[in-house]
Amino acid sequence: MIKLRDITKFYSSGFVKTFVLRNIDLDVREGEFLTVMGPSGAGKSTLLYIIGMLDDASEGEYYFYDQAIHSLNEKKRTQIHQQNIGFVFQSYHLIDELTVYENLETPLLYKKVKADERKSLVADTLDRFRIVAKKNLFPSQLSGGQQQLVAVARAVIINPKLILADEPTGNLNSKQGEEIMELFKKLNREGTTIIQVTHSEKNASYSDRVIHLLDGWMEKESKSIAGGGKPEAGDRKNKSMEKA
Amino acid sequence: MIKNYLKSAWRGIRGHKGYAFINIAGLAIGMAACLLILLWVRDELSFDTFHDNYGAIYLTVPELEGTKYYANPLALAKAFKQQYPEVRKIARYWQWDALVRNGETAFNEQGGLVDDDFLKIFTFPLLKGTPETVFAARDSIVLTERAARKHFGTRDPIGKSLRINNKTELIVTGIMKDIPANSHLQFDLLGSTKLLGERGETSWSYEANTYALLHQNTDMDEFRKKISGFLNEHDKRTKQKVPLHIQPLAKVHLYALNGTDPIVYVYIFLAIAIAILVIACINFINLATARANTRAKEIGMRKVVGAARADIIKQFLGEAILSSTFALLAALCLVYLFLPSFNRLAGKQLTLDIAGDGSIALILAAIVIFSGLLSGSYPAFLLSSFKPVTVLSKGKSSAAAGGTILRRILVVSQFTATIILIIGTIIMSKQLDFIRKKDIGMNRDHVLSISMSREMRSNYPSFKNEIRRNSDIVNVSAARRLPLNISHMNPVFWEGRGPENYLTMTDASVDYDYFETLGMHMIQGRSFDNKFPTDQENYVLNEEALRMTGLSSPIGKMFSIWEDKGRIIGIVKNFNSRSLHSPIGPVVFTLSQRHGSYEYIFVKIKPRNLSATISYLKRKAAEFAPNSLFEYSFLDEEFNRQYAEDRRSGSIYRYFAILAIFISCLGLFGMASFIADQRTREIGIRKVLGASVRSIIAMISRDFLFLLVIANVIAWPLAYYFMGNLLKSYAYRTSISIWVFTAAGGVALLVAQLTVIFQAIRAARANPVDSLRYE
Ligand SMILES: Nc1ncnc2c1ncn2[C@@H]1O[C@H](COP(=O)(O)OP(=O)(O)O)[C@@H](O)[C@H]1O
Ligand SMILES: [Mg+2]
Repeated sequence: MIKLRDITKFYSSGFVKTFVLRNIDLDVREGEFLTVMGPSGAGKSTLLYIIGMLDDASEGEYYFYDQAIHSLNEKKRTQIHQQNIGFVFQSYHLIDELTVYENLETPLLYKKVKADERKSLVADTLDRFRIVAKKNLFPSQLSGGQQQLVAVARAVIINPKLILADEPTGNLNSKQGEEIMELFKKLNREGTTIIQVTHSEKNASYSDRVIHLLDGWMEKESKSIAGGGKPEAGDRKNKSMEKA
Repeated sequence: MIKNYLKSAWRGIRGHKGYAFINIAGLAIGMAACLLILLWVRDELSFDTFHDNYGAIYLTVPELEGTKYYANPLALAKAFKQQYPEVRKIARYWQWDALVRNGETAFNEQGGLVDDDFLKIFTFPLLKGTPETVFAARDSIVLTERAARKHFGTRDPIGKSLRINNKTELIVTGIMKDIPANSHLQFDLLGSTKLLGERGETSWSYEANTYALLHQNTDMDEFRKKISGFLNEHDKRTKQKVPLHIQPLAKVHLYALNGTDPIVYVYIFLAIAIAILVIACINFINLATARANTRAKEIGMRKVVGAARADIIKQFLGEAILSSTFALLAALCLVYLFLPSFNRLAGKQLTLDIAGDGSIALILAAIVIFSGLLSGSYPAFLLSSFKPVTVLSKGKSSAAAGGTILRRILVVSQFTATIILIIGTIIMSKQLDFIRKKDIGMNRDHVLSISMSREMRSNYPSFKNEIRRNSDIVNVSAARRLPLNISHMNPVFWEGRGPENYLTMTDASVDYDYFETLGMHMIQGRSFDNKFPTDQENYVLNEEALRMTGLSSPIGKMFSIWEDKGRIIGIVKNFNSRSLHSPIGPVVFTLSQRHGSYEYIFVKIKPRNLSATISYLKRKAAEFAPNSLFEYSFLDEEFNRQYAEDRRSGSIYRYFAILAIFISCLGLFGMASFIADQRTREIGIRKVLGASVRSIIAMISRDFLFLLVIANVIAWPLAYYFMGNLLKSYAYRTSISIWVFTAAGGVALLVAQLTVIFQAIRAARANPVDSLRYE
């Protein structure tokens, strides 16, 4: 589903190039649950944004279902993104001026879903996440856990093939975090591919596979501890490891 | 989707009431000002357009000594039509102000004597009577509805008679609709040129406006060439060239025959309208981009959930158009509120009829779209270009960095426009003041001018003798014209120059004591004196006339108007006989009334018993002319009336310039408070490190001061150029001195500095702990 080849990302300021990602090769199969770990500043978020088409790589190739994303224009990319990808952030990032209901509705509006279908989708999702009672509240009136729940709901509502979660439980207490992780596991079982960034081994244990980033290098790949992993994950060679 | 945008826009407005208020109020005031000016401009441009033949009507314009006139020889019209097949119809308009009496009631009315085709060329609809028949009889008179009501009340005036100037009985044959305010011809009654008699058909004296209706397919360049020599072909009295021009009706109102075209005011006001709207839009753009930081997160989120760039652009343009729609609603209220005062100021009867007038709706829509797009597009393109990554992962500061340069450019252009307007305001006021105080070569204070009826004319010598006995009356004289409006041209020649080489000068028929009454100074010779019976044929010239003759010792030299030879007895100091828009022309004074009898009595009175003296004069006038109205005015009022338009335009200009300045400051206030807000944290840290309130004010002001200095540097030369051009329209103009510029710069600086200081103090006073506790 996702194929990254030699992805490099750097920022240049003056004569200095700061590398954030170096020669990343990564394949993610459909239905996989992948965890990206690494210290702060390692480039995890950057990698996630590139996969989510919110940012471009400086070099390298990115294929999404055989579509060469690196050579598409912004409009086409927005289209693919809008149909396939849902995002969840550490700090929720809901739109403050809109209610829970309207926040859920927004992605559907951009996807140009018809009004009645939109209504029933939002109603279903509110139901499924058990936040019907909160639908007319503004984000500022919700607790962190509830906001993240809404953020996940918003990511899920377009029925994405891929969910990208950047430290989704970072601002939550452990009970709230667990709920979110259970939710991801459930979504993954229903067929959604999930890539998450986390610092917590416990969260990582929900996934099938873990990759580690360090200073922009992809370090090692391991089966997750509890995940009972899929055989082929271990077969993959780690190029950056060899280099290092 | 739209609902979603509207909701977030509306809640955004509610959440930031201060900014929203500045945005919308500024825009509303700007729009209201713009709308008023556009109404004014539309009215100015609509003059005479209501005539069906608007595009095909032309006025013939003779040029005497380089000056063009609307007055044509009476005999021109008939010959002109006969000679040129291009002319479909022709009609004269001979100004005919008359005392109209119906039994006991009498009123002075503005009127005209016109040819039969007048009502066929122009669209002045008749309510009673037909254009073909109303002037069939010599003694016909046509009234406007207003005049009919005044003289006859509710009775039917048709067939009734009116007594004109206590002399002629005329029969009402038609009633026309009142003349629209946007007609250059204004009258309440029309009579027939047949009343002029024989003279009306044969005289070559310059007296009547002449309107020709031309065939649509006339080649105007060709036609102009053809008619240019017409006057010399027909009027054989002179060898001087008297070219004949032709002027379209469309140009009568907005273009002057000589000097400045009033259309410059249309341009100036349009420029102000646009400037005000742009200044208001700049506020909007500035605050929107300044707030980009706050909005960045929302945009990032919208992009993350699938918004394309176009969606974001649409959203922000939509928001701007929403705001400008709100602003327009507020603006409409303001316009309704201020229209009456504006009408008083502008001397117009403008109305805002949205439902009944399609073009108003169009103007409104244009204003909303113009200001919406103008103020929305930059923020839209800037904000939509944010990468979600940047705004979501990084701190806020980088997001709006792109806006700062542009914001500075906008602030500079805003202040440039404002400073130009301030400079313009000062110079316009200075010029008007200059005119008011200029030594015009006569003393017009406490001089009463009384219009002279026929009846009075015959009793004038005894009237004069009688009233001179009153000790409050200093001097009494009479003349054909007001001294401000001498414009009767006649051919003259003098010793050393034969009649075949005549020049034309303005001649003024005046009574004894004229120069004394009006405080004019003789610089050579003497004024008219009844001790010398020959003075009846003698002449007094003004300096300009003397200059034109080139005589070095003029006193005693032969001088002649037409065939009336006499001697020059005196030279009077130049005085401004026309508006100060035009230079002083040559004038020759004569006691003779052959070229027109006296129409005004001038009475110089002592200021001490003003009202008693006036009622005395009124009483005496009733004694000597019992059947006439006593109508008087003060000469200085007449003088000021000449500049009514200038003063009007001046005060309109001033009000709108002040508005523009206010809107600019509103924007500056918003910007300053925004910057102060934004730097609260930085200011807090600085204070913790020991910065004084003063140094913090200096820090925030420095930026603005720099921008203001740049604005001044740009504004000064531009203002100098614009105002220099405008002043060119006055023959006598005030100087453009450097203090005007420094004053304007100073005012802008002061206002800006006060706003900024106010905000800076607020920020600097805040307790640093409050701002640092968060984050
Ligand atoms: N716009 C940028 N300009 C310069 N450096 C950046 C920019 N964005 C991110 N970085 C740098 O890239 C590195 C990786 O960032 P990020 O992917 O957010 O790391 P992580 O999510 O692993 O903590 C950091 O060192 C960060 O400073
Ligand atoms: Mg990160």
